[in-house]
Order: sequence, then structure tokens, then C-alpha cells
Amino acid sequence: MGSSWKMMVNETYSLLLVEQQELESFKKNMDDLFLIIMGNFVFFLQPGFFLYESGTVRQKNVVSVAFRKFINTTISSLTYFLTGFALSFGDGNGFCGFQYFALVNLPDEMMAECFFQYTFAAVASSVPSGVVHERSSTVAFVSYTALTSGFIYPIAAHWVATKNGWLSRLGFDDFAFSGVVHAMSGATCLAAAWMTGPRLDRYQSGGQRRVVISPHSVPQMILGAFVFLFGMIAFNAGSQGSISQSGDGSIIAQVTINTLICAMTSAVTGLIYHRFIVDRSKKNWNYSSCVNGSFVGMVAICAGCNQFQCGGAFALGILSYLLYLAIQAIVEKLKVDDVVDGIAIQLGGGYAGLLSVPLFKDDGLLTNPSKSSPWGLLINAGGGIVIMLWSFSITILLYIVLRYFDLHRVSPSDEKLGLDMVIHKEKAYDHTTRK
Amino acid sequence: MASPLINQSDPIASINLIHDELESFKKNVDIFFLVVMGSIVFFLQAGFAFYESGSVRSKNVTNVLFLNYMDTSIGSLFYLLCGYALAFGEGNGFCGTRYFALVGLPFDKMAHCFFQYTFAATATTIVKSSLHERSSMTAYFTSIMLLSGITYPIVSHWAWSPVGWLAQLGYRDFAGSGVVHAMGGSAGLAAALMTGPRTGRFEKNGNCNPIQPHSIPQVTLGAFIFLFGAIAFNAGSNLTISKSKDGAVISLVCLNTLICVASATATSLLYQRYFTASGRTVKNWNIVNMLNGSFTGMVVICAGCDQYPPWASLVVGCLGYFAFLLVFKAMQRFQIDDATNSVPVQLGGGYFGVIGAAIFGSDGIILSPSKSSAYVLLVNVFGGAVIAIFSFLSVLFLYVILRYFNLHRVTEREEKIGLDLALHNQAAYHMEDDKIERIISVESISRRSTAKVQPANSPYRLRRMTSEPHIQAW
Repeated sequence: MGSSWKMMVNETYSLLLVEQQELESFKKNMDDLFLIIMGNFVFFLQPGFFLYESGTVRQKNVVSVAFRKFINTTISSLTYFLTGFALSFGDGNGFCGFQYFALVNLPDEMMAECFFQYTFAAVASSVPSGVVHERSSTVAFVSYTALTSGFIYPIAAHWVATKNGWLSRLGFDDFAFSGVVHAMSGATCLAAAWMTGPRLDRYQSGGQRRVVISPHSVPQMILGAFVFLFGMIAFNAGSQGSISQSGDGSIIAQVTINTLICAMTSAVTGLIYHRFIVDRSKKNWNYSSCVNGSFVGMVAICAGCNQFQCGGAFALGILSYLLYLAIQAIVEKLKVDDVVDGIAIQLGGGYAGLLSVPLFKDDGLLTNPSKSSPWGLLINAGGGIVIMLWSFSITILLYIVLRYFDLHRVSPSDEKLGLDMVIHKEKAYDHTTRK
Repeated sequence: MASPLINQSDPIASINLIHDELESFKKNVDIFFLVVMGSIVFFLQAGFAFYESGSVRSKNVTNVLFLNYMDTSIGSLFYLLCGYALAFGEGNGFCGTRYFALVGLPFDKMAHCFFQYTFAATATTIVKSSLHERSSMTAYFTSIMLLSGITYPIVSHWAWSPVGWLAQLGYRDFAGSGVVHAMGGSAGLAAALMTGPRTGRFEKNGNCNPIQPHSIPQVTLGAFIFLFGAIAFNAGSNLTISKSKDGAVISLVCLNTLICVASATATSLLYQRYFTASGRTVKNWNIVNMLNGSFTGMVVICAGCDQYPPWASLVVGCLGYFAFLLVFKAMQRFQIDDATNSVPVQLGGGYFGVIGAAIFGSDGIILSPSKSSAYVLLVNVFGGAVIAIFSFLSVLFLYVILRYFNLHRVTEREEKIGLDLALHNQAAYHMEDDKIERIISVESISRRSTAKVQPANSPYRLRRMTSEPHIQAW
């Protein structure tokens, strides 16, 4: 009697173990699938960048935008898989990682995460080229793209996303990389745009008057904006990293709702600002301010979307647009020519997002203050500044070298002809062949 | 949320209950996987639409978009009517025999049917891309019916159905380099050969006149959508997500796809700039060439992406570009006109991908050399060739009939006017003059500024800007 009872207990126990193993392996599969689907959507941000920036430039430079945005996927994937993933997620010290260069010995469990993180690196390296369109040289483009995705971004990601990283150890809180991707690339944008100089016909009368250079295609810009919305939802939701832990589903749902609220609030803030505050007489419902506003909101909400209540997301939408306006004014004052407003959007939105986390999270300064809340604000603010200084200084160093060899921009006559014909010898639109 | 009734007095039955719940959840998730991946692969149709539309002249754009939209509609009807049955309806080694018109299709095969339809849509749409600007609607409709109803399903039955004769031989083609791409490429070759080149494309002395794409933004948008869909094309080919190693396999597949595409793009770019005579003299970075290289990378990786170590996908991407170049030069030499360069990409890249899977795969010659790996190579080479020849002959047969009745292309006059106006009476672009460029200031003369605008005494004062003229088209 006793032995058959023991046998049944053993049999039960072994059946239980089998079920548990099956469940664990299934959960791992689901996590991988989640990262791959979200990563694929984030990868679709690349055409979003292409469409938006291609619509913004003049017709004579469209092919160069298309070329650069497409080749960005190539350069960033090669450099990220060669050195980037190793520097950010290989085991190492507080500054950077040392394992998995060229993905050698990459374990199976980390492959989906590698793919997902690559799509973030592709975004980080695509942003800087947006602000220097129409005048930047191929050499400059290739070098800062490779540098950003192979070195600058991975190290900043290591500081924030791994257990060893010094910023994460201090308590830096940046869920979907508002600071690491957006504020960091905003600082790169500022360095690149400042060192490259403005477009030739941007400032007239000896640098006094700023000329408006109209976008050549609004449909492309708006399609790009829609694609950004599509990709940013996955950008934020996928940063949860897993779907199999308990509570994951509700956090992801909260993330998607917060993303939408913040983006749309910012967009409406921009719309109302331009209609009623900038120039009431013009009665201008400006699509560009609406779209830029939505970008600011999308970028700012990344840091804290998993922790905010909906009211926090709403407030952040308004506040981030105000910081965007402030930085836009500073950029104009410095006479830095920014083709797509990238500096103001990324820097303003990214830093606003970083500041917002300790303010609006559930036990934050504005919602439920305690003794430890100011420390969180200090860390996020200070850490954000350190990340921006990191990317700004390295980009400045790169541009010092480029400017020494005069390789940082194309020649004035080339710029006048348009980069399409000069670099690519191809026209963007050819409606003449109706014969 | 119902959970199984755990019976404390009968632990084994309770464990069986949990086991059954887990199994049914796994089935649901497999279906979810196929549905999501299938939807993303379906978005490839938009990619083809934009890529082909941007590549042709602006007088044919409506026709191209029409063809692309139609082949999703018509192709799906014929695939669901008889294609899926011929492909996956069990049966013998040659073709399947069940589920015609989806009669008797069990619920748990429906997601698989949807997913396979998206692949059939891709294979079918490849064929017509070489025929743009001169092909007739009759030729188009009949070739869609043939390809999605008969040719592609039979080929996929050989390679992917468990009873198919190529699968039984050991032919290995994970996501369809041979089954989808080489098949589409060689069918496109037959069609392009029989249809003849566009008027004015080739001259008597062998010169080839370049025909420029009319909109690079559309071409590039199509290329980006291809990238987005290619990742799902390869990852979804795993067909399940619930078996134990599935997650690792699809992660490796995604990484390999990215690496191979990057490698092929870089190879094409550097080769064209530094190793061709025109690249060296004109010193240009040609975008269309680069995009063709990246498509070749996407096609080449399909066969073996689940088995390659990452360095192998780098090598395969680099070599695949030269396979593309070979077929490209051959087509120019034999004066076969391909409107979108799809034949070199699909046939050259697809066949090379099949060979590459045998060479660089985990039981291939490089990684584990032995007699059986030589056999694997032989089977893949043979299998890819058989697929290409079969699809070539089937489309050739159709075109022999079409040419007999002279239905294979439009008249020369229609080609000159442009198929937009000739076949659809709908121009794609309307270039009107835009009188007002920008509004600088607005003054309302009366308080009722929202009154109707009258042309004689308009309430608004406008100033014209003299800036560059812009074209509305994109």
C-alpha cells in the first residue's frame, strides 16, 4: 500500500515537472515572439523617418534623403551587430560591456533582445542625419551614423539598461529610452547642425533674416507622421521586454494608452498655440505644428509611460511642448539651421520626459511626495545631462576632425545644384517622359 | 477567467487538466503567430505596389497600381479555390487532392491557409513586375490565374508538403528562396521573353536605353516596406511558436535577415561605385542599384536563415549580389526587358539562396563536411533547377497560346500614349498651375470675415511668394 502511494506521488511529481518545463519554454517562446513583433514595428520607423524628412526637404535633395535613410539600416545593423550589442549588453563593468563582439557566442536566449535593441539603435542613428539634410557630405553622414550606432548609443544604453551600468545603479529611471535614445540623439543633432552650419539660402541680408524653406510634399510628411505613431506605440510597448511575467499585460496596456494620450495632447497644444497665440489674425490651423507637437509628445512619454496615470501623461503632453518651444527659440537664436526641428523635438521632448518621471510617477514629487523623491529628480536630471554631454562631445570631436579636412559639408556650388544630381546623378521625380 | 477544477483527491487528473489547457493555449498562440506574421507579409503587396509604381514612367502609374491591387483580389480567389488544395491538401507526391474551394478544411488549418495565401500573393505578384508598361490585361489575368491557382501551389506542394516528392528527397528551403522567389523569377523570365521589350528600350546595335524611375520616394518606400515584410516572411515560415526551440529559431532568423540584407546592400553599393567603369568616372552613389542589392539580400537569405551562423549570412549576402549581377548582364545581352529588375533579383538571388542553404547550412559542406552534406547540396541544386524549369515551362505554355491570338501585349499606339489613359482612362498625376504659393498676411475688411469669398471684392488680401515651383506629385 505504501509503495504504490509513493509511486503515485513520484509519478505525480514527475508529471508536474514536465508541465512546468513545458510552461517555462512556452513563456520563453512568447517573450521572443513579443520582442520580434514589436521590434519589427519599431523597424518600420525607418520608413517613417524617410517619408517625413523627404517631404520636408526641397525637391532637388529628395534622392539624397532616400539614400541616407535606407543606407542607415545597413550601416547601423553592421556596426551594431559588430560592436554595438557587445558594448551595451555584453557582461562588463559599469561603463561598457566586453562580450559578444560580432555576436560570437551569443546565447539563444539573447537573440530576440539583440534584434529588438538593434531597432532602437537604428532609430538613434537615423535622427542626427535629419537635421543636416541638404548640405551634409556623404563622409560626414557615414561617420556619424556608424559612430552613433556602434559606439555612442550602445555605451549610453549600457549605463542605463544593464544591472552593472553606473546610471542604473544610481536609480536612473528611463523606461523606453527617452533620454538614452532621444535626448542623446538630440544632443548629437545639435552638435552636427551647429558644426555643419546652416544651408546657404537659409539666412539672408547678412544673416539677419531667416528664410522659410517650404517642404516639397505634405503627403509624404503626414504619412511619415502616421508611421511614427504606429512605430512609437511598439517602441514603448516592446520596452517592457517580456509578456510572460504576471502583470506584463496590464503594464503594456497602460503604456499604449499613455503614449497615445501624451502624443495627442502635445499635438493639440501645438495646434492651439499656433492658431491662437502665435498670430491670431492669420487664422492658421498649421499641420506642421500639430505634427511636430505629436512628435514631442511621443518622445517625451517614453521615459515614464509604464508608471504614469493618464493625468500624468496629459500634463506631460502640455509641458513637453512648452520645453520644445523654449529649445526651438534658443536654436533659432543661435542661428543653427535645423531642417526638421529635430533638435527641439528630441532634446526638448527627451529631457522633458526624463524630468517627468520623478514628478508624475505614482510616488513622485507631484503625486505623492516623500523624502526620497527629490533624489530621483536629481538623478534623472543629472543623468540626462551626462548622457547629452557624452554624445555632444564625441560628435563635436568627430566634426573637428571633419572640418579640419573640410569634409563636413558639400561645396556651395554642389549645394545649389542639389545633392541628387551631384552625389547620386539621379533625379527624384521624372515626369518628362510622357513621350 | 475559468481555471481548471483542481481535484485534490485525484492529482493526476488535475495535472492532465492543466496539460490540456496548456496545449489548447499553445494552439491558439500558434494561430495568433500565423495571423500576425501573415498580415505583415500581406503588407508586402503595398511594398510591391509602390516599388513598381515608382519604377515606371508616370504615364503608366495607374496601370501598375491597378495590377497590384487586382492581383491581391484575383490571386486570393484562385488560391483559395484550388491553390491551397493543390498545395497542402495531402494527396500524392505531385499535388494535393483535398480541400478544393476550402470544402472540408478543418478549423486548425485555417490560419495556415491564410499564411500560405500571403506567400502565394507574393509569388504571383513577382511575375508581373517584369512585364510593366507593355503587357495586356488578358495576359495579366490569365497569368495570375495560372500562377496562383496551379503553378505556385504545385511547386509549394513538392517542397513543403510532407508528401511532396522534393520534400521526401530532402530538399531544404525554409522560407522559399526556391519555391517563391526562384519560381517567380523564372516565370517572370518566360513572360518577359515572350512579351518582348518595351518600344525603344533596345536598339538594333545592342544598346540599352535607360528608362528612369519616375519617383524615387515611391521606390524607396516600397523598399522599406519590403524590409519590414521580409522579416515577417522569414520568421513566420517557422509556422509554430509553441515548440520548445521555436523562439530561438525565429530570433536567429530575424538577425540573419538583417545581416544578409545589410551585407548585400553594402556589396552592391561599393561594387557599383568603385568597381564599375561608370561608377568610377561619374562618381555617383546610385540608389536604385543599392535597392536591387538589398532585395537580393532579402531573397537569398530565405532558404537557410534558420540554420546559418551570423557570419554565413554575411557571406551569402555578399555572394548573392554577384548572382544577381550575372543574371542581370545575361538579360541585357539577350535583350530581355525587365521593367523593375525583378528577374535578376528573384531568379538569380533565389537560386543562389537555395544553393547557399545547402552549402552554409548546419549540415552543409562548410560546417559538417561529409557524404550526406554533398547529397544535400545535390538535392538542393536539382530541386531548385526543377522548380525554375517547371514554372518557366508553365508560363511559356500560356504565352504560346496568348501569342497565337496576339493577346500578349498592348498595341504600339496604346504603349505610346501610356496605359493609364489607354486602358483605364485615368491619369495618375494632374499637373495644374498653382497660383497661390503661400499666404503671408490676412486682413479681414469686415467683421463678417467668415462670409462667402467673392472674387470681385475678396475679404482677404494675399501676397504672392516667389519660391520654387513645387510638383504636387509624390
